[in-house]
Amino acid sequence: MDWQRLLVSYFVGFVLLNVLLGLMAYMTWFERRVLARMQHRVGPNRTGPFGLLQPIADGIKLLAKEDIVPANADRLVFLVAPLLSFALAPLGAAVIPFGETLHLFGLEIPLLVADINVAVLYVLALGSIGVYGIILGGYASGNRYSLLGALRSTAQVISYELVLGLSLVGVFILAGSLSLQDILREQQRALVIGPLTLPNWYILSQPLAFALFLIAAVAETNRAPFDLPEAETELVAGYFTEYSGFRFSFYFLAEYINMIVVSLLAATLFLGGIDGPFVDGVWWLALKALFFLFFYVWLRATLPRFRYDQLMGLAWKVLLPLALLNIGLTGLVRLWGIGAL
Amino acid sequence: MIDFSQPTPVILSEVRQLTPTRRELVLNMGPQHPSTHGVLRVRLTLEGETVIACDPVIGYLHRGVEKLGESHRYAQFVPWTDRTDYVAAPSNNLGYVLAVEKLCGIQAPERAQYWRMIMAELARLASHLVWLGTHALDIGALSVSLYTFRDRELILDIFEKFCGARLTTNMMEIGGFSREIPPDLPEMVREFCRYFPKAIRQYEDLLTENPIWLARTKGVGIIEPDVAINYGLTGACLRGSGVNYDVRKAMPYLLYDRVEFDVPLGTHGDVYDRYLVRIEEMRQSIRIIEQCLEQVPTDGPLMAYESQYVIPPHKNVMTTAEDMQRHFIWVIKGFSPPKGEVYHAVEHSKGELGYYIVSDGSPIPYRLRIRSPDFVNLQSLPYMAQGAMLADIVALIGTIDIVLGSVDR
Amino acid sequence: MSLQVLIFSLLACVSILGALGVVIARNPVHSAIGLVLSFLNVAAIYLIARAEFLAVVQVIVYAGAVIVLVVFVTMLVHPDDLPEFHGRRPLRVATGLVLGVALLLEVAAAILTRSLYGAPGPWTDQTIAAVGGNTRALGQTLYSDYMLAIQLTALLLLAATIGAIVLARPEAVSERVAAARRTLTISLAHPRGLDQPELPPALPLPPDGQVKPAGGGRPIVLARSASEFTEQPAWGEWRTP
Repeated sequence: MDWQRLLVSYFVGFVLLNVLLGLMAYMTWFERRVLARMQHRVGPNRTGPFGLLQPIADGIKLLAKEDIVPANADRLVFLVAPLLSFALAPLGAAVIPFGETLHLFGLEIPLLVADINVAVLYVLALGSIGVYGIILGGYASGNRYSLLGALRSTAQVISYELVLGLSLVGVFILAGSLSLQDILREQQRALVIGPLTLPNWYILSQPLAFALFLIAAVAETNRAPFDLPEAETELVAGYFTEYSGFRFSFYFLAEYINMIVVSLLAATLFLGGIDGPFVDGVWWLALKALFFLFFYVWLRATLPRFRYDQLMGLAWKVLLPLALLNIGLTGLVRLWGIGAL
Repeated sequence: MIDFSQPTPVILSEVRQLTPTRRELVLNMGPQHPSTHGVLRVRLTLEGETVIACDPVIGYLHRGVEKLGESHRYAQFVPWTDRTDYVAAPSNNLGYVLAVEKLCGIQAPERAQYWRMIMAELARLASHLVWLGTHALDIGALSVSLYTFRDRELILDIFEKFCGARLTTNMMEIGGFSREIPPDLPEMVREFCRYFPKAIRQYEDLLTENPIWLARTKGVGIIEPDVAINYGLTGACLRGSGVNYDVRKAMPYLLYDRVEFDVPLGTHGDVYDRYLVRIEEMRQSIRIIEQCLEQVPTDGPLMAYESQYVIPPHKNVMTTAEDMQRHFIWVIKGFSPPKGEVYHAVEHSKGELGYYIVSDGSPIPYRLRIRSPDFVNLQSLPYMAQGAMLADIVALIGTIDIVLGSVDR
Repeated sequence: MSLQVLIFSLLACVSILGALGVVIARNPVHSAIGLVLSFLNVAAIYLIARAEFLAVVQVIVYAGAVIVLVVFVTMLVHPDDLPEFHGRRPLRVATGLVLGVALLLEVAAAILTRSLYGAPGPWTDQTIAAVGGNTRALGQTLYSDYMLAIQLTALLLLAATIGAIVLARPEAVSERVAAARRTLTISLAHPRGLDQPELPPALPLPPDGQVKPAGGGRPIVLARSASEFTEQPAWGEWRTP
């Protein structure tokens, strides 16, 4: 084992984790401001300039709150579940390439934490373990709303994870790899269609997969219009009804970090990640991810919520067949070598 | 064909079996729950997410308003009516005031009647806006509620201009209005009428053709017309089922027979139809207000004068001896309407709001009964809820359009 | 080398602890958590063996899907309906103990005597690198040499899926709802359970401009006076005789 590389990896991971946490805090600010603009409101504007200190104030408030454990809760599970959710959320970002390898002080610093050759599957696997934070939290609360929220969430995440995974198969077929680095490298090539020279971003060659991924990602992160597990008008707060203080904030953090990670993933898989006009770099990735995050907020401001059975119907009756169709089509195209993709 | 002239027999069922089996889960929704519109408690028996039985439990906001009415003098009770359905206070005032006027056999002057109509229709709009916002919020459309409350502010501004209060207006008085209409009020209302159709279009853009909205409301909570009649539903809940009953048309009060408007009727009787009906009602209300503004005389008395039941105008109290005495007695003792009983109904934003008063000739009513529309409409919830999903319950509570102050009284 | 052994030992220990938890825990959900813990550690051991694909699949399939379903069912089923985990049935305990010890002995014997060797396969580090990685090699082997097995497995899973759908017949709920509707509604005059046919389509609407398209492909009817539509609802007869 190369100690130097391992240390560099840890260092990059540490920086990334902190950046993610900071981003997450400002994601809440961003969401509240954008949502407010869309709703003829002002949003937080009292705490610091433009309300920029609001996330910090919220964090302090949440940390200072009493940590309540309900009397009929399954105590140990209740205490551990939010930690599980929170700990798993940022791990997905470990495989996302943030740029070319840097050369500093004679060290090679790859701008990603770990280059796993099954990177995308790894992210999906994280998602499927992330369910435990929700389901155990809901179960352990000893509250019927929590239980219902947890059940909904589990069913939803399992169903949409399938769609999420299948929608990506088309990309894998085109890229011929499960590694995000390879997928990124493929996308940096030029796509020449007649007189047009376009970047080989998979949004162009896999539009259906992109749409499916987007829908499934919103559902996977439990956001509107698929925010049934925490539908406040039905289930009060769903699986975290009984949580308060910093345990509540862990769920909250996990949700927002998941949003950021999924946005980064979408940008990397379909929009060429760090690839962009002028100078490639992490700013392109950030810009693209920001677009997805805005999209999240936009959806929340606009759409009503699905009903549970409609949500399941959408996943199994519409999205899943479409994903399979996309795989079939992509496979055929690849088999016949049309366009030498 | 349904024979509306014959009442369909209503058979009380066997004892309700609410003891859940092992496969069922009893969920107490409320009285503290974000979307039960106050303190309604709904006891749901669920199997998975399917509602097997639904049992609304009311009374958490019971203040004994009717009994209070039986211990207050007639004119003193008007502010209490504000506090029944507090999102459409002028309509409540109107129902009570009209009932008392009917009892006393007096009538407000034409100009006051027009202004009463305008205010009642504005109250209907304000109430429908609250309904639309909360209903959409329950189903998950976050922004609509902000938009509707933005526009409701304009109406509340008009109320404030008119009577000084925004929510509990205490606006109507027995016999008319004792204060002059502010001179710039008609223009304010006109301005609102010009603006408001655009706002309705805005809400409709967000909801009417939205596939998720359609999926959540179409075919949900169907009430057949005969069932609706059996339950005694009124208002949009009844008209959504296609039954043509609007108190303004069926038993015109004020000057509703002088204005032209249509009564929208639904064609399927589901949540979506009730939504469409209410949206159209808002448009019709604007029509009514515009016609009233055209027809209302700019001058003339606002208060019936010739009667002992009405507070004399301020100017006369200061100048004439009889009126000063009348005023003294009216304030100290109250007025005593003739013996008898009376029922008067108005088309409230939620349905038929009726006040039934029994007078024994004293200044205090012997019996006062409020037929609040949402109390009656709420009884259809178990019927609509059976077989629905848990998420539909909030849509159903929203579509009935309840205000717990009015349900529990 | 020593680091790897250390990590492996740690993972193996936690895995065994998790497995023990499955057996010992009295609460079925706690048992399931123990199982997940065990599976995750096994996945990590795969990772050490550089079988990334296998590790990830282990997590997705076992930890992510199978156990979630187990937890799901445990949460849904009424506690009284669950099979008794720690009943006082000495025969069962004894049988389990004997079988478990026998299995343990077998495995131990196999490992200790190192008698279980197969012929080495065609894949060496060099050939794998030549193909382009572990995952790719696995995919190629599976979809060329073991095509029939893959297809058969897929068929089996399909059959299982169909079986599950058949078992979970949704009618069961709707029948109950309809029955409940019949007995629970206050008015029995118009029961309309879920087993009743769909609502009849809207009949021809009244003419002369009183119909206004309102949205969602639906019209609303505008009544001009109270004397209209008194014989029947606005869109004609509701129930067909």
